[in-house]
Amino acid sequence: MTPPKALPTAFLRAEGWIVWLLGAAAFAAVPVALGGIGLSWDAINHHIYLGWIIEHPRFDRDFAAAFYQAYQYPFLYWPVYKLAMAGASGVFAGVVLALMQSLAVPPAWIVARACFPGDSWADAAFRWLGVVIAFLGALTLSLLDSTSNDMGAAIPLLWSVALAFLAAGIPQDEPRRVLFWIALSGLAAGIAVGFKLSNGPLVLVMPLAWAMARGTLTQRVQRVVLAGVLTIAGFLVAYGYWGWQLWVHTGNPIYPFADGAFDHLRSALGWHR
Amino acid sequence: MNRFLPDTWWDLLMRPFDMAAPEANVYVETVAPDVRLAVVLILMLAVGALWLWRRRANASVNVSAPVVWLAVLLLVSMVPWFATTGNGRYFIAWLVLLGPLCVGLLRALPFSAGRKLALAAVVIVTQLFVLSQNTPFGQWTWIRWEEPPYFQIDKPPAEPATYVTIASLSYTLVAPQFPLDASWINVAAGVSPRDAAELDKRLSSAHDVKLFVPAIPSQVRAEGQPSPAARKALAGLLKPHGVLLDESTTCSFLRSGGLARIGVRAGAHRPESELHKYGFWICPVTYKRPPAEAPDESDPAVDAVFEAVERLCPRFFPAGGNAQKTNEGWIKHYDTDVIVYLFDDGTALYKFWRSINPVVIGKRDQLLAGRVTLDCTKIRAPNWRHGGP
Repeated sequence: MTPPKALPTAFLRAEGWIVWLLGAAAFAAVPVALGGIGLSWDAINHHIYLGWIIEHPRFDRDFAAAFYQAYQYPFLYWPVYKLAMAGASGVFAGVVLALMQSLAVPPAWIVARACFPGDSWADAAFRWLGVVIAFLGALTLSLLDSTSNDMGAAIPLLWSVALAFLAAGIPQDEPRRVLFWIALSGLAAGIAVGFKLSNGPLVLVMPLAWAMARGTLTQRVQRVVLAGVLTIAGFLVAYGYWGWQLWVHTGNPIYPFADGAFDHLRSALGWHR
Repeated sequence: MNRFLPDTWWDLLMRPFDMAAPEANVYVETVAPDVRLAVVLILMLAVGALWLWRRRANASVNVSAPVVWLAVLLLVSMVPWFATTGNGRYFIAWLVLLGPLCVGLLRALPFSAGRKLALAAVVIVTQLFVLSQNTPFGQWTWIRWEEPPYFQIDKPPAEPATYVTIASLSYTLVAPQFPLDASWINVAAGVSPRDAAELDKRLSSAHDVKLFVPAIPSQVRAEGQPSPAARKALAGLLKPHGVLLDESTTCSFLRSGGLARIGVRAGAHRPESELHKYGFWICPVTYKRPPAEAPDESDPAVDAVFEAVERLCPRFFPAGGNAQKTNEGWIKHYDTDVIVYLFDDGTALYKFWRSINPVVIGKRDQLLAGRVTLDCTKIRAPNWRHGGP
C-alpha cells in the first residue's frame, strides 16, 4: 500500500497561521454580518464601568457602583471600554473583540495537530475539521455577539492545555525543550486563574497534562512542580495588582467572595478602611 | 446558587444530552444547544467498546496517545466543573477542545479515511442544523451597539454629584459620560453587614446626593417629572436604605435613546411620539442613617412556616435570610432561583424562576405538623426529558 501523499512542506509550516487567519476572518465576519455587537445585562451593568476604572480607579469615589460586580477583575473589559469611549461603531468594536477572541483558534489547532500529526491531506483535513467543530458550540458562538470576558479568560487555559500537548509531542531526548513548553503552560494556567477565578478548579487538572510528556518519573515530577510554581507566578502577574487593590480598599483580595474567611487576617494585620 | 448543578446522578449522566436540547438554563442561562459533548461521549463509549473487543482478539485500535489523554483530561475536568457550578461559561476551554477530541475519536473507528471525514461532516451539519434552529447570536442582547455612541444619553449634568442607584441593573455604562468626580453608589439589594458602616460613611459625607433611576415611560409627566405614584414607589424603595426622596421635589429628566431602544427591543409598542419618555430620572435625595436595628418585620409564626418549607428541600430553600411582608402575606427570595410565598390564608407556594406557574407546597398547619412532602427533584422547570417547561 502506498503511503498517503504528503502536503507541501511550505503549506505544513504555514498551516497554523493559515488556520488562525481563516478563523479570525470567520470570527470577525460575525459582527460585520450582524451590523454591530450586542450589549447584555452585564455590559449595561458593569462591563463598561470595569474598563473605566482601570484608567480611573474609583475606590475612593464609588461604592458598589455596579453592585458587587464592580469588584470583578476588570482588565479584560478595558478594550470594550476604550472602543466605547472612542466613539467606535458597533461593527468596529465587534470586529476588534472578535479578533481578540480568535486567539483561541491556534491552541485548538495545536491540540488537533497533536491528535493528527501527519503530513497527508487526510491528516490536515481532520485537523481543520477539528478546529471547525471546536468553534461550533452555541455558547462559544454567542460570545462573538457579546462583550463578556468568558472567552478572554478561557484563552490562557486553552493555551496551557495546547502547550502541554506540544511538550508531549517532543522526543524524550530533548528534555529542555519539553521543560520550556511545560513551563509556559504553567504560566498560562496561572494567568487563566488570574483572569477568572473560576478557572481555578479546572487548572487543578493541569498536573495530569504536564505529566503527559515523555520522560522518567523524576522528570515528570519535576515538570509538574515547576509548572505548578509558574502557575502561581502567572496568577500573581495577572491578578496581583488587582488583588492588592481589593485588599487595600476592602480587606479581601477576592472581594466579595469568601469575605468571612479573611476576618482573622484583617484582625491580625489590623486592617481597617 | 445551584442554577446549573445536576440534581441527581441521572441528571449528571444525562447532562451531555440535556445540553443538546434547545432549552435555556441547562448549562448556561441562554438557549445554547450543543450536540458535541454528547457526540464525544458516545464516541468514547464506542471506541472503548472497540478497544475491549479488539483486545480479546489481540488486535489494536487506531487511537493515539494524545487522543486518550485529551479524553481523560476532559472527563477529569468535568469533575471540578460539576462540583463547583456546572456553568458552561466557566468551561469554555473544554467546550472548544471537544472539536479536536471529536475528530480524534472518529479516527479510531474502523472505517476508511473518507468515511471518517464524512462522519465528521455529519457532526458539523448536525450542529449547524441545531444552530440554524436556535441562533446563538443576540442571545445575551438587551441593546445592539450599531452606530455610535454605544449608549445614547443626553448631556449629563456638568456639576458632580453623588448618584445613588436603586435598580439591580445599575446602568453604570453611562457613568463615564458623567463628570469624573461624580460618585456612584448602588443600594439595590443591600450590602453585607461589614460594608454597612462604609456605605453609611459615604452617604453621610456625600454632597448633593441624587437618585439616578431609569424612568418608567408611562409614569413620565410634564417636563419629565415622575408621576405621584412613581414618586411614592421610589420613595418606598429608598427608605429602608435611609435615602429619602421628598415627593414634592423637582427631578430632572435625562433623555436616553439607549433606554428607548432597550424598551422597543423588549417589545414596548410605543409610537415614535412617545420615545422621548425614555430616560433617567435624576432626583435630589437626602440621607439619614437608618435605625441600627431595622424594625423586625418578621413574625415568629411566619418564620416557623418558612423553616418548615426549608426543611423539605434545603438544597433549594436554604435556611437564613428574612421574609418580606407583602399586601397578601409574605415572600422570601432564595439564592437558588426560587421564591416562596406564604399567603395570609395559610397557603404556601414556591415558584422556580423558569416555571410558568407557582406550585402549592401545602397549608400552614400541614407544614408545621410535618405532614407535607415535596419531591425536590421536581422543583426546577421540567426539561425535554419531562415534557418541557
